[in-house]
Amino acid sequence: MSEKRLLKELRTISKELVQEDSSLALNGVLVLEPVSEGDLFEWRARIRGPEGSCYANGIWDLHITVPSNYPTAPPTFRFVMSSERNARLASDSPTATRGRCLRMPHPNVNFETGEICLDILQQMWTPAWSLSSSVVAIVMLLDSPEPLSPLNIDLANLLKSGDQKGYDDLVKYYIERFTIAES
Amino acid sequence: MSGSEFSFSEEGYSSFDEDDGYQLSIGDTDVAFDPDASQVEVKYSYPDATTSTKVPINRIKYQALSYDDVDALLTEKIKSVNGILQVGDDESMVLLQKFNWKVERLLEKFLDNPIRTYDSVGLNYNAVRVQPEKLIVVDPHFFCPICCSEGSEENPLTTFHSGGCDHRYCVNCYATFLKEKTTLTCMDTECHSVILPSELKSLSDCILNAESVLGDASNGLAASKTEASADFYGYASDSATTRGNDYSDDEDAAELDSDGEEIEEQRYLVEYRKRKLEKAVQDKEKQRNKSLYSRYRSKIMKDHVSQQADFRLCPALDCPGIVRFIDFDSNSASSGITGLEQFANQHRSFPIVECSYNHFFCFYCSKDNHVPIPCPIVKAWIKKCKDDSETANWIDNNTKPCPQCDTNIEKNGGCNHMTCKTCCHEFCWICMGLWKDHKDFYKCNRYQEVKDDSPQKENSRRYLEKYLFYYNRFAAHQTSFKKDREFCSKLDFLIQKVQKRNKVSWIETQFYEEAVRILLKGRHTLMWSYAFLYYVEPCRLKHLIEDSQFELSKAVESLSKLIETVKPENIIKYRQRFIKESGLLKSHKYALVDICLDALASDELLISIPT
Repeated sequence: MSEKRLLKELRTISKELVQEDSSLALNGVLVLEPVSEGDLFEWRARIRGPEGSCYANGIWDLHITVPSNYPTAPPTFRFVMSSERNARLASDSPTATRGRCLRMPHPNVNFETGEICLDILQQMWTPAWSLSSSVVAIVMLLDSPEPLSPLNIDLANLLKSGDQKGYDDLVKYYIERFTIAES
Repeated sequence: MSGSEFSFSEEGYSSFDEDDGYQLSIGDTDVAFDPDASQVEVKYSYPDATTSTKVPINRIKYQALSYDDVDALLTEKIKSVNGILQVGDDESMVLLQKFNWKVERLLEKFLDNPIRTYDSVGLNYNAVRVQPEKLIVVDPHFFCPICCSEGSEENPLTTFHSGGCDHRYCVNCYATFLKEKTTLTCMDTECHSVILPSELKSLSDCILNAESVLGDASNGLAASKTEASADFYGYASDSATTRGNDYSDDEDAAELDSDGEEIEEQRYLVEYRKRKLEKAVQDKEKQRNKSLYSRYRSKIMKDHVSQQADFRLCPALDCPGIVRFIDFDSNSASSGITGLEQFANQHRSFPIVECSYNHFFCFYCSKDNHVPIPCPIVKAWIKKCKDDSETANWIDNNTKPCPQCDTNIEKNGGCNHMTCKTCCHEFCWICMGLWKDHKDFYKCNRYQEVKDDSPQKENSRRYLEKYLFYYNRFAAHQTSFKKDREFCSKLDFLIQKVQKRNKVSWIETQFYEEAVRILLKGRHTLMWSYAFLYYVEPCRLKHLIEDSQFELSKAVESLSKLIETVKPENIIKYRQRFIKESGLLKSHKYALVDICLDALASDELLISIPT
């Protein structure tokens, strides 16, 4: 059942990604594909932060693990982070304009591991969600953080105390600091 | 020992009722739960009201209920709530579930604003629900977006949707989705329409029908049913062929032996039949898990029971038994006990109850039958024993106990806002403080100095030696207990062999089984008594307990040796010795428990539990 469904999703996704007005493209999903051709259970995605938010200039990679009982159980999404050393290298190198960001500064994302706290990927999951709609949901989460269930306490504190400017600036600072130029 | 020893008749209960005419206030007292409504026998947590030295024992009164009893109570509760709300049984149930089965809270909210209350559970107040049967549609042109299967003219898909929306999916996908859930909603990502219990039943029936067409479920069900009854009657016909009619046998025996033995034998027979019936009930429980609706219903019932302070699920593996707290007995009432915590902690009493399937457990701490020691000691001992083990290390490293109910919680992802599944307590994972207090700012990232007491090394070594002394004895009996229990599980088979070989009736071999059971219980008491003594400060009473414990351990070892050395085929020859030794063991066990109870009631006994 999962293979059949994943194949079907793969076909829809590859069609949608090339269309400019599809929901994937409109929401800044640049890539969504299986990691290797033979395996439908490991995927990767690349997203761009939503325009008009403090995440607008960032690009992030996501790693997606699909369980064998998908779609009964939800897939696991994780922001791809890099080692401490790479991250430090990034901050030393001159700031790149369109590189990949190695950290996700967000109240609902763990700064060290990239783990995401999003209800629809946990208790609110239903099989009617798909890989593409989940990725879109994650992009939307960037612009509408939920400070009541934080994984990044410092950022959540800023939002809760009403310091929107401080929050925006801190996020922008992190994105700049941890973005590396693509080789 | 049979369960009947612990039981009291209905009349006995009502006469006690006059003595202590007060109501218990644990949890949410409900209109629908009237103790007189059910006809189940009321039992006591300990057979005697006083010890042999006339020290009163604190006991609780309880009922051992079956699944069906509690199911009936739940139905009654739903009906009574619907009697007030007038919205339909299904809707009442969904509302009640959402309000954690707290009737008063639901009524308050509902009468205040019915439409908002309906909204909060995902129901539409003004909607007209469709008949549940009409939600199942067979469609040859349907494409299921979940499993991506497509219907055809020859092989149409059966679809289902909730009564509140029209998001259709194939029945199999819907069933998989709903299988593990207790809150039933539509699968669609935006739609939160609720699926009512009657609608689920219609889906469940549809799937059952489909399976019975395939011939799997219906055949399996019928086969296991006839098997169970054949097993039960097989016993009767079996003994009839070997020794003639059972009843005339009994009468013969009555003429030869004394009246007392006849009663014994009657008791064995009753117990045998009871056990066979239990097996049939357990089979029924397995059946119950098969259909989607009955699974849901039993989950709802367990959910409901675990929310009620006066109900406990039997902690034994897969046991469907449920015990219901009725009241404290007159002793406890006169010593001013009003709550279970007080009963167990301050008054050092242990509410050991027996479920309908003969599992003994503690009503307060849901642990094994730990006669003769009180719950706080059990808790401390178990924690101490686990301190070194791998599991304990894991639990220690990966879980934290809920600050309110002590349930171990593993955080397997997600944020730090925790809600305990058992008691709904909301807290912060980092500082374990109330979540309420976190509304404005996180204070838990501030480091707080922990004052460290320097460890006293010599003392700790001595403590360790003392602990190992008791622990080794405790562990030795625990191992033997497990071995004996394994032996006990083969007993039925062994006894059948003996019957065939020696051409004796089933009843005549019962002394053997009884002896093994008494040994098991004796060992268990002995085992716990070591844990008890570890925490008791040296005093006169401790010596008394140790003396009695010594007698019991002698009796246990002697009976154990007898059972081990006498081969099953020779047991008939040793019948008298078996009966004598098991009788001795039983009386020593009671003596030890008696002394412990006396000691616990006296102020002289000092117990030191490290906090």
